[in-house]
Amino acid sequence: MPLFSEMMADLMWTGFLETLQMTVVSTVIAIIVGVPLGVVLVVTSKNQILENYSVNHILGVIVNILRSIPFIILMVAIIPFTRLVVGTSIGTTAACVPLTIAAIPFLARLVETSIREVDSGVVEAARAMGASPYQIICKVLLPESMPTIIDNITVLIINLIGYSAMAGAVGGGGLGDIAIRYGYQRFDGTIMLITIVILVVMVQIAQVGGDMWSRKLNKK
Amino acid sequence: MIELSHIGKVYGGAARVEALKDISLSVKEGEIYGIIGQSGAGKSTLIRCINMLEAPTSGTVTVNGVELTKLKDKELREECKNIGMIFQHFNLLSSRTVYENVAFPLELQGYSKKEIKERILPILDIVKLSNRLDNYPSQLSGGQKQRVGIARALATNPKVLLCDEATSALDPQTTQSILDLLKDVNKKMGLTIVIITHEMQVVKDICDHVAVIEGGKIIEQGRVVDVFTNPKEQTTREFVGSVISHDLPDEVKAHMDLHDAWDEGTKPVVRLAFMGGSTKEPVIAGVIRRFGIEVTILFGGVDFIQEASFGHLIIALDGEKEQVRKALTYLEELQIRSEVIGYATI
Ligand SMILES: Nc1ncnc2c1ncn2[C@@H]1O[C@H](COP(=O)(O)OP(=O)(O)O)[C@@H](O)[C@H]1O
Ligand SMILES: [Mg+2]
Repeated sequence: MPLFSEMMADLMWTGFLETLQMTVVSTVIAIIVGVPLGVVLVVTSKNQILENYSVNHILGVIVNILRSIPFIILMVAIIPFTRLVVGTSIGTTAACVPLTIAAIPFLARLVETSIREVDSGVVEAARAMGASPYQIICKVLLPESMPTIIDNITVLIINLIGYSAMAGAVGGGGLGDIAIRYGYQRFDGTIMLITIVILVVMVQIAQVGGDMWSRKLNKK
Repeated sequence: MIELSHIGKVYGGAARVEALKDISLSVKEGEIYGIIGQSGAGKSTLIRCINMLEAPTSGTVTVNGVELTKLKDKELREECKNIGMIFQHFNLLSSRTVYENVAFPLELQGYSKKEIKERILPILDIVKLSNRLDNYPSQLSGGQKQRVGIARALATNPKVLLCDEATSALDPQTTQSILDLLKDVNKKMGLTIVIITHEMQVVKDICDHVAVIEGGKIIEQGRVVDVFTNPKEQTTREFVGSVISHDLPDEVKAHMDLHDAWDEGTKPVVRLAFMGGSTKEPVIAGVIRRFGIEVTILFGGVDFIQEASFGHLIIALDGEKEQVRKALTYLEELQIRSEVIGYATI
């Protein structure tokens, strides 16, 4: 028997695509929701352009709750919600739901920190020019913090690659699923090794790509 | 042009700070108005009240005939477009080039790319940055960054320019070039400028009027020449003293033994301060001739406040007491400021 059959190669490829799907889908949705959420968390806080205690407080509490639930528990706990959204609780698509739910507050907090680092003097200058809150967000806060937001997204992607492996272990498919089923339950060292290598390469690509992009945008 | 009336500002919170107390001042069109004070005096708070970056707790702010204190946010933003502002730390957008930074306020107002270009290229020329258009702020020196700040503030063609410690982060030479630039735009564009500073040199170099602020209150204000030649408050004296020495140097004072009373054997020591025109009269010679007394010159100097020359002389009068008294009266009647600063034995 060959060490690594064609069937195995197919299996790995599918696993890779599933991991990729989980990561990409949850990253994209997390960016769409998480970045604005991060912005809102900043601008509604004290002494900021759209200060609003209730909004800030409520969102802050929700984010904190979601952030404090370990992912493995969150995944199980929201199964009814997952069924509601995608019609099933197993498979790659279903795994995207908890991944996204975990990714949104994670990214929102990172983005919040990045935006807070924008020099308050620059915001003040924009206010002095008569900029509206919306203009300040779109033309000052986001462009000025873009390099660090890119870094935040890189961190998110890397975390999601890891989390998707966890999701795989409980029926989500992907490389994590393969590593558990073949590498762990059948003691297949080769498969285990290959999955690890693929995961490492994925993380590397995300890291290097993110770094390059962020550096290109950073004019400081 | 700018009218502040009974402005008060209290910062709330646990530690209540009364940053401004009943401040009234008025800045005329085309004037350069300096506001000087020590750190924490309330200067920044005051200038931020002029464009309502900080809403005063009491009082009214009127700029260019519009009472800003009663406007709604949106109307206020409109008015802000007529008020430019520059900052100590420049506050440029690090993600934008020089050109894009200067274009920024026009972009906010929805000008087209073409209009923006037409308006800002001449301004970039005035501030001598035409060859740095594509540089990012991180590639510029402090002086160049402040020039970008000035160009950005002027892009919308404002009536008023507010400067919060605009030269405090710069070396003396660069400070001079920025002040020259401000003076230049003040003359050429008829721009009204308010300058906040803790450096009297800045006031001396370009301001027409000055207000001294301490503990959130204006303690003295007036024309720069008047405040320089005749400072009334101790803080003002110190500020003036930092650029013009009014007092006897310590070395001279040390072996002079000044007294407050005109005791037997002491001579009055008089400080004379005179402006350009009044120096034509032969003051010293006149005193000697008329009263037959001796005059000893202890210390003197001439300073320039912008174009006006301003001199001061410290002299001791010696002779028959009655004649000395008459000489003092005579000096008081002249168009120069004289003040007996003590009595010494010398
Ligand atoms: N946002 C603020 N909240 C509370 N206190 C403030 C705030 N800004 C300034 N102050 C206080 O108001 C006083 C005047 O400050 P400021 O106007 O910055 O002085 P200056 O510019 O003359 O150094 C200081 O005592 C300062 O601590
Ligand atoms: Mg200040």
